[in-house]
Amino acid sequence: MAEAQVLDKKLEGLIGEYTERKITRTEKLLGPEAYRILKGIFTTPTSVVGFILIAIFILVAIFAPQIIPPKANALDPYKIMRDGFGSVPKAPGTIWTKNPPQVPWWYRTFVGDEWVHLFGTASGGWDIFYGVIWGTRTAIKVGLIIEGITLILGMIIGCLAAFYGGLLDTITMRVVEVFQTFPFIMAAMTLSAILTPIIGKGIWPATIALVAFGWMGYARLIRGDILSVRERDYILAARVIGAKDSRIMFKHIIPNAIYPTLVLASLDIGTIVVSFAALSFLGIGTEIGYADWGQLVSFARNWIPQLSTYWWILIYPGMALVLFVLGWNLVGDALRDIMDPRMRNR
Amino acid sequence: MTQYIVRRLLLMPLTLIGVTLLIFGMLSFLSPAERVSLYVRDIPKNDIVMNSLIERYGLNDPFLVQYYHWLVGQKDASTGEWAGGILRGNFGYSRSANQNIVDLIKRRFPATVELALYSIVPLIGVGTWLGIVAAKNHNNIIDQIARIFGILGYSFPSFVFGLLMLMFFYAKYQIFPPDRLSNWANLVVTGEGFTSYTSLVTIDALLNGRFDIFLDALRHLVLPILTLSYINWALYLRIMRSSMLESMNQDYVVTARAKGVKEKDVVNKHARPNAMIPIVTMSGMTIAGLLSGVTITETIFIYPGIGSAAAAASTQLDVVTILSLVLLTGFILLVANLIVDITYAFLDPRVRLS
Repeated sequence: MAEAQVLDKKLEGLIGEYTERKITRTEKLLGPEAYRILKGIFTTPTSVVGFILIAIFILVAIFAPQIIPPKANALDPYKIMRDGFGSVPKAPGTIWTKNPPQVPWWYRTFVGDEWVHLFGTASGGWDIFYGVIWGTRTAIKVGLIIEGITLILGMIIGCLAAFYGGLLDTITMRVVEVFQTFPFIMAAMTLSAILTPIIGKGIWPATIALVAFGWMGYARLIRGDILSVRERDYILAARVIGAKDSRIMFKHIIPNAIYPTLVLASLDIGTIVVSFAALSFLGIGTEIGYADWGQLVSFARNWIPQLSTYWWILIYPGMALVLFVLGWNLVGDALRDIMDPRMRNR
Repeated sequence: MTQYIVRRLLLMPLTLIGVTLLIFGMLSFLSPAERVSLYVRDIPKNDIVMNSLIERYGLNDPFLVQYYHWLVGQKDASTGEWAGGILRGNFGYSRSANQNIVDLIKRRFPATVELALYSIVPLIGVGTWLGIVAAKNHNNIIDQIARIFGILGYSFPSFVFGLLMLMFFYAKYQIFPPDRLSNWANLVVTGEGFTSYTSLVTIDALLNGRFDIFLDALRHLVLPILTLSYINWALYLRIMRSSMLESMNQDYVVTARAKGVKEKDVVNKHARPNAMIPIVTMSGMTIAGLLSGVTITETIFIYPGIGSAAAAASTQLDVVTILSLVLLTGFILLVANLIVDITYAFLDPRVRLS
């Protein structure tokens, strides 16, 4: 004990002598690299804006039932509420005549006692405000599910290929190449067109299709990362002392090779949500009236020549999509700059 | 070098087999009865008829046997005619387009090629230029504006941006309409006295001396090109910017500056050519992507290319058509990849030698 203290004192003296920079407790905890990255993304103005945007969307998704409550006896809250079945879109501010939802407290405080269509309706009486708010939930749900499964799948395949190498690696890389041959959206479209009759309409055909054609990039990245880490001396050292494969994998390789990739990949949620929205925009996947942004934007397709009159059908859900993706991209862009070794110290 | 090309060429058929296996594998998610109803015009309601059809086309055979039949076709026992066989060009009949799939491709593909041809320069050229501007003004206000402009474009889903463009330029001001040609021009093009040399409307119009049709076709191309370019500029901006910054820090650029070369020449003659290498690879992929059909952009602008055909087919669950189109695009991308890799090897000795 006493010896250790003496050693500490000595070391402290050394550190005091050679480093002028003060190392905070957080930096000690995280290590210099993670600290630099975290500090970077929380001090770059663009990424801070991105974080704020993402936070707003998450809050909206969590409090969707408080913002606009679904019908008490509704079978599926994700089904957009409609005001009659009229074919002409109603402008924002029109009073909700048939079956309006309950009036929540915030609405009573800021707007009034009677529901109006805040964002207007599409043809068929679908309320766009309801769609945008509950669509936020769909977007985040779908984004997390797809991103999660894709990453895990890509990670497992990439790890196996890199770790065992040889024939398995060669075959895996050929398979990756085959999957990557197809244009992403078209391939996903095909698979969901095949899956829809089998498992029925909903978020699942598009989800499965996007996962099936999305894992290859991650598998490749992670394989590359592992291949470079695998050659390091500390892996050899671990082998020499007889560590098991699983231990080397989880204790040595993954922390050193994969976390950076994971961080970057998790920011692809924005892109994934757009792909999902694109599929439902084309009319593949969810049934008509399901609250998701792509579906809402596709309502605007029926009114292209009159879009300057019925602008709200396009603008509100479109804005939600753009801001959501922008949030993720702003953070991702800043992060990429910070993590790019070529851009360091510039 | 030769060895590298030969190796790539040898791998190509292997990948092609993989591609066809994957497509056929997707098809076999469907039960034999469902596959019968895909290919037969009057879907049999009677179990006996259905079973005899399944038997006749061997839809209960093992996977690899069916795959073989799908590739090379099979001789019909009763009529002696060849049925199916994508290697013979028998892709089948497209229900969503009401014609043979081969005819569908012949009719739609030129439109996609035309859109791709006109998009290349604005997309790649302007994107790269923005990257150079951003790199030259590193970290000052122009750099920031260029980057925010780029990120914003990257965040726009193509269907939102395309519809916005239509809202302004078509619904409000009616300058740039959707579709490929106006009605009157379509009548001229399909009518007598207009020879179709290349199937590319703009070029045909010029060859026929119809300048008005040429202008009309261009008018219809503006918005799709703008949409495709804007959403892709960010990518080029980003790559060009970082690659340019890297090469501006190289020793040979310092040398050039030290010996008194003008700043313009330092950028244009020393830094830029080397920074362009990643752009070459990217361009290859972009061009291939454009040629394989830009599904969403074509759908929004009702542009009759293969992308919009695929979208229409998949909304109507016309699996036969969409699988054939995916096969076509996969093939295009495969060839394009090969060309890109070989060009890259020519450009960059490091690849060639490894």
